[in-house]
Amino acid sequence: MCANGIVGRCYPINLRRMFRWLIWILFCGLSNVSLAQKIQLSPPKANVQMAMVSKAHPQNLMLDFRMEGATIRYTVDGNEPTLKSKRYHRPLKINKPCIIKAKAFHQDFDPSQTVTATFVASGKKMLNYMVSEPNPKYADEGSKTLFDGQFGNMSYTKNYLGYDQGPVEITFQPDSHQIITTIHISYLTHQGAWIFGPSKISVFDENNTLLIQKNFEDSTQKSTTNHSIHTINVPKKQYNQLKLGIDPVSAIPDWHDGRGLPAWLFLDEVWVE
Amino acid sequence: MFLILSNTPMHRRTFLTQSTTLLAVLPFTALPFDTPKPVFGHQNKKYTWDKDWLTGNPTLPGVKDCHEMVFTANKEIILLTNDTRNNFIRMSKSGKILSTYGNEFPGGHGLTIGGVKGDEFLLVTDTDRHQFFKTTLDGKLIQTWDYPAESGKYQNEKSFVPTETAVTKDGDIYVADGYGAQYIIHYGADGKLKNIFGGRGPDPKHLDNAHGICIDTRRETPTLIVTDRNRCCFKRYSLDGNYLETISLPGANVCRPVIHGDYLYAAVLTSGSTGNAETGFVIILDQDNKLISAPGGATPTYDGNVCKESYQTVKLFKHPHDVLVDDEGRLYVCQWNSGQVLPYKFTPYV
Repeated sequence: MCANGIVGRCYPINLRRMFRWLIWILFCGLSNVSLAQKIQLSPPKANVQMAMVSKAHPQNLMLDFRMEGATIRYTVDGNEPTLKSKRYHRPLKINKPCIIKAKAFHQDFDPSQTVTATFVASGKKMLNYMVSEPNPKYADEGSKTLFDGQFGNMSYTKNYLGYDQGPVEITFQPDSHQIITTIHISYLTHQGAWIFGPSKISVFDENNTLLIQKNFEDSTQKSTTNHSIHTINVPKKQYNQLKLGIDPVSAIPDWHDGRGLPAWLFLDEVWVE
Repeated sequence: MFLILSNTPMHRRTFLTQSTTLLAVLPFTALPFDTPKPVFGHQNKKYTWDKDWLTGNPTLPGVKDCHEMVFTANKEIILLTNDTRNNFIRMSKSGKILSTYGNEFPGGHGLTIGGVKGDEFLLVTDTDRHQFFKTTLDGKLIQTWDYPAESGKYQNEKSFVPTETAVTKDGDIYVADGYGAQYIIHYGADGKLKNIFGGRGPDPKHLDNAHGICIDTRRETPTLIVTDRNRCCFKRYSLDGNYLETISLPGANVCRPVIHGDYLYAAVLTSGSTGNAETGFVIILDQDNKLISAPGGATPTYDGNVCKESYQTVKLFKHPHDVLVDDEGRLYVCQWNSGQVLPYKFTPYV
């Protein structure tokens, strides 16, 4: 319109209209803020953060939120729970891989943050395994820690092997009759405790031939404390032996108090599919 | 409504302006009906939050951590902070900041009131100075105690980091070395060392973060209740230092016990472990030391005699550090490391 040369008329009208809408939006915004200024609920308690499951070895997920008038609602498809999601009443028996997300709701409060429980398929059998010596302070139960089917949680004191230097070598012999497509490595990120995710993972076969190498540059990005999994696909076949070389972050980035120093690497489980 | 009733013809612009104004005002007029105050706590100890009770004071430079509070015979509140611009903040129950004073306590932590009306005094522990002090209500120093070298349990002042005191009506003083060697040190009314007990260790009589202490006057024979924060419990001792029992409160990293009437009140710094930032709440125990209410926390539940784990349910508090109960049963909760907020006030809900 303005490009057509009717500048004089088009400007004031648009401004007036814009101003009116601005006032309207401002009022709506303000009134919504004051109406919605509720205190947020805390997240419900979950007894599991991550676990391995199979038909033969199911797990119970128990959620807890003892508050009158509150409900826990959850999803099993990875979506964020809403007031329309399924309501939690009793422990859930989980026997196949899934991600369960739950939230607490109450009419007088804002919904809680989401809690997530991740269930992964139990790994294939291992005939043998060997793992680099961790720092003796964080040696838990030695090599077995990474192959016992038990995940750690947000506290690094249990179920983790802690390394302050790398590369960490993990050699394992899967039952040779099994076909392998995927390797999973779970680890902790807890930057306040100088624990960062791996910076690089290399996979070698029994002839020490490099099969695949993956860099994880985002390990040095700022992150909340979390427990995560790196999944690496390998050529689909039977393997007598596989070896992982895992590099910790060699120099903590500048934004962190520990800048320039090596980061810690905390691993809790390695399994194959 | 106005628009429907009006018979006067109306221009489009007038209509827009009026309807816009009306619609904009509606949410405000509807506000009181839409937002009843939420209620915190359980059973006969429920409260509403008076969010804006403090009228503030332009001369108040601020606070660091609000550590503890006492209630004077004049029905005023004194708050201790570790902010040396104003270690003490005196407030009225109605929320007026009456005066601010004191700049000697960079580690001001424990605050206890003793004596009777007209002759009241304060006991202050300082975790930075490794000392504790007796002052007047307006913060003038009366007496200073250094680390208890005469007990033989301390090599130097550094391992003495007192967090709390309690005073009997006879003037005996108990000091909890909560951030230090975990001893409870008993001084006579003459200010001289009488006894030392507790300490670090695995037995029930030992302590791990003896953060608070009080004299429990709810029973005929007064006893001591001491915080064992890292083990989520209170421990009861006789006044001569014999361990009597443990009051277990799973999930509750309790600060100091506060006795008021038949009840014990305590701020819970965090849920589960002290690493869980911003997850605190408040607990109230009855005269049998059963958890009956937890403002900001999960509904108290017992499995037989075992208290189920407590945890935060609403993000009302971050790190509550002390509770004060006034003469009308109102609660005041002050917080450590919570954005320098002044105490919150809660009114009983009936």
